Amino acid sequence: MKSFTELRTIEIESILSKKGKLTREERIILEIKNNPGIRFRELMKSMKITNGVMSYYIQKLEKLGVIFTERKSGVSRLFTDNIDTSDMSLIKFLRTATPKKIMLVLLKDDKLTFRQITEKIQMSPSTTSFYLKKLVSSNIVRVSNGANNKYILENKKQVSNLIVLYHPSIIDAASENLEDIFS
Amino acid sequence: MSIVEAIPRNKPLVIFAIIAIIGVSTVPSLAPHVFHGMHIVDLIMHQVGIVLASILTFLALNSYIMNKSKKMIVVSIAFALFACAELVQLLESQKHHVLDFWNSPTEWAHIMLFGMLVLFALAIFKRKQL
Repeated sequence: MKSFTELRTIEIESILSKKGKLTREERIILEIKNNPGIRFRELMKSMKITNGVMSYYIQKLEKLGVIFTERKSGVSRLFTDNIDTSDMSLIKFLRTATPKKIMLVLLKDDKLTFRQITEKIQMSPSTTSFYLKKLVSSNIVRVSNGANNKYILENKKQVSNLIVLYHPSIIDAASENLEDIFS
Repeated sequence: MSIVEAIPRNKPLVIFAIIAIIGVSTVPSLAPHVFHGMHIVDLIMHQVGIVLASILTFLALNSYIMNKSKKMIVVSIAFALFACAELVQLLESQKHHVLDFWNSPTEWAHIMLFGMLVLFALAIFKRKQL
């Protein structure tokens, strides 16, 4: 079975290798593939498509089995069908600023206490605690048993791979900024 | 897919090659004017203008490859023309020395155009938060 990364590359390339302009469905699939876990409203904003029209396309693509929507506590997150469930939960956290910061500091330093994490990410203890609890309950971060509770990232390799995969290079980010200015 | 994904994995080598190419093409036009007072400033502004306009051309092309938006082709042509205009002005500056830099309206216009290009490049390279 092909890995998620391979599938992602192959399918994006098959869409991009098509000559001429991409259809709206293809652009939506591409946007979701590039930003798995994107919220419905974020997608609307980034693609400049109204709510009704976007709903129509999302329902159509869901019926075709190309994408699926995860609806949890009033937030709809969109994914492509070939995504791993373990990747899915990690990606959701990587799309939120504070959990991403926490994961980045834990990626850099192996074991950190709660105080060290709050100092490094420069967030309030209550915010840090809120997100750390979520990360621990999702089995992304585990707590070591000892005198001082230390937090450890469960799967460092998977997190670093996903950060690299969904973190555009400076050139690609600048190209997107340039297009934003002219669109 | 973008141009970045197509370039070789050895990024330091690519960066070194780019700097080397810019350096080699820049030195012959600047070196003879090092001791010509403010004339060198005018030449440096033209050189940096060429480099920045070329980078913006590249970014616009990369953007077209990534998102297939035709208007980015137009934008890349516009920046390529800007780079060409700077090159023509650079060649022209080689012949006519700038004697009174600060009292020349042409040079003030040049500074403003240069400022516009630098600010535009800064705005584009400002990273978006995830």
